[in-house]
Amino acid sequence: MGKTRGMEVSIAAAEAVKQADVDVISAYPITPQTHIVEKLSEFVANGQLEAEYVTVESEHSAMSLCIGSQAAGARTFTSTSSQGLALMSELVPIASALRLPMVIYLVNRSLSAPLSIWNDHSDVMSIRDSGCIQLFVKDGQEVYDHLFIAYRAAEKQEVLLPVIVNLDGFLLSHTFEPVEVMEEERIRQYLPPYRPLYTLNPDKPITMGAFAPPSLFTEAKKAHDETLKASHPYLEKAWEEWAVISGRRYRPVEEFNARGAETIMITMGSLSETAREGVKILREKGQNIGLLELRQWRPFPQEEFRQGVKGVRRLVVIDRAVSPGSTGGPVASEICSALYGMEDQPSLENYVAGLGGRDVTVEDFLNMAAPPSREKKYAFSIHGAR
Amino acid sequence: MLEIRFHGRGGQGAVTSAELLAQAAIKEGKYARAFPSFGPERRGAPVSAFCRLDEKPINLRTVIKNPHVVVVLDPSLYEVVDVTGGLRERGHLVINTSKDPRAFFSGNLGGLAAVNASLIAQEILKRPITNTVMLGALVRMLPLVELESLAQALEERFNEKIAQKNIQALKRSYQETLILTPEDHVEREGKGESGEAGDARITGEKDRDYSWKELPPGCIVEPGSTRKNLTGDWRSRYPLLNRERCIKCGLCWIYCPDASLIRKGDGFYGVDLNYCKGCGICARECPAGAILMEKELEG
Repeated sequence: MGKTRGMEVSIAAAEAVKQADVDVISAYPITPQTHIVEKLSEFVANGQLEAEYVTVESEHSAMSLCIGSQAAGARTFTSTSSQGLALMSELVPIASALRLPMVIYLVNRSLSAPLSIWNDHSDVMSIRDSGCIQLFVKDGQEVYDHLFIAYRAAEKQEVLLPVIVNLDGFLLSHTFEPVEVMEEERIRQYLPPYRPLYTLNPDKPITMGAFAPPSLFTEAKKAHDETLKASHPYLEKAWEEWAVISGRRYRPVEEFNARGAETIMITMGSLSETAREGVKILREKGQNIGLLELRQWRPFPQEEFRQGVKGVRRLVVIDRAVSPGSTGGPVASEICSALYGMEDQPSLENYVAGLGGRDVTVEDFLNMAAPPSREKKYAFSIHGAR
Repeated sequence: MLEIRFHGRGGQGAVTSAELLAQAAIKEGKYARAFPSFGPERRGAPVSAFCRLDEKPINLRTVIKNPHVVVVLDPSLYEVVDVTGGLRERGHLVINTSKDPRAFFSGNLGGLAAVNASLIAQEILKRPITNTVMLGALVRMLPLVELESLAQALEERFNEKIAQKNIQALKRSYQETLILTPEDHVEREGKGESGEAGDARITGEKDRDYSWKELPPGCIVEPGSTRKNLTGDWRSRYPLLNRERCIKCGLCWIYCPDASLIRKGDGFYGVDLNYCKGCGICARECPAGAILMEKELEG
């Protein structure tokens, strides 16, 4: 077992990157990701981490560099937030389509405008369809653990996809809390050195990122879609193996008091913690309510999700991003689609909450979970908007 | 669960205070979380930091609005910030003051700890950084963690020399802290229960009036809006202008980055303290030595 100590979560994140023994880091600083990359540059500068830290002039260059280094066979890491991801986004689908298993800590922050440095999930939703594995975590320990889990799954030759680990800006990144840091020996066992399938090597030349005519593009997309879906059991396996060394077992959909519940709330990211407090209070008051925490956003865990909501009468889905002009938030839309064709479909109320750093309190969860005055099959609102 | 709010100025280590306290509690096998008031940081501006302590795992990621304890690191803040805003009934207050602490006791407090932290910091650390000093006063009043655990947290965080100086300051503060309880306090009618404080940028107190229907397209802001943003509270020093020496050259007026110097009818200059951040550029540029930067006084 490792040692539990108080750490700022960003520092725990940087510690994980160091322990994963990455070869190349390239990033451009942006709030609230900054502490992670600052600490990493310090590790590299003082010799605690033997890696290339490449400073670049933008996130676009950072991702370009990461693509190059990962293609050359180096274990590569980057991190960004918000507009930084937006600038990077031209290249993110290329990283996934080229099957480059880099890991990205995305410290979630709202997209401008209006300018906000605070948290919501609008940044990651803008690259939802980039073809990467996308995971969400809810506390500092999960942030730390998922760096290793991400590389472990990503680097499997059957997977070879980038993994985006989403952690809520400030709420997680800037909070100081207990984190168990694992022994190096355990990490080395869990995460052996990266063995790429193909590398860019002048002695054995190959082309990556070639042109695909209409006769091949569809097949390339089909292959990508199938690969992303087929990564699911490798993620499961990576979580199982992590449980063996850490004692912490993660699942694609986490359940909290969900078995046999009539009403289920669904959250992603750090909202899940406060939501648990809400569920506890409502249970004490006699409401038969539970919580599902969606950890694995892509590939969407259809089977586990349907299993989790079986027999449920009412779903309350909390989104942390708006999908302007749509019928609901991105998570709720996904869930509607996942429920389609299911027998005894539950009703669904969708709330968007916690935009641009607005606090989501226990009381907010109690209000959102309260049974509606008029029962509807579907309802959507932006919670708390005046 | 116990919730604590720290008030300081950017650069004084309020966040470090909260983290050191959390670290000490974690060392004792307790659960703790510390966090800053989320947002941009500016040296000298009033800041707050928060800490939650519990015997069991903490599951809250929300702003602390009604703390049990408030710790104020800087005596110049009492005038600027409603430090006891939202403090719970019978809550505890820890202050840095050189004055008679009885003046700070209001009827609703469950206890008050006072220490001349600025003096201790200046004497031992040779810098006006009062964060560890205030922790000594806090644990003197409320034994939340052992003094020894705080010392260990300091040793982990800083190099040997700085850690030892801070431990010395911590222990001296623990000794010199004066505790007032409601029994010591004769006048029981103090302020009524305070309203909610917290970070207006996050809690949105300032913007509560706007509904989405009222926002102009694209959230256009009319000119002159920063007039409402009184940045004078970032200041820890203020410019003192000496008319005897002033040669009315106007360089201070030209160089002031905040347009806080005002040309008066008689050709001399005055300072608009609503906006002056105390940067000292005017004093540095003044060719006649007519401007001196003076420390802001307590209260």
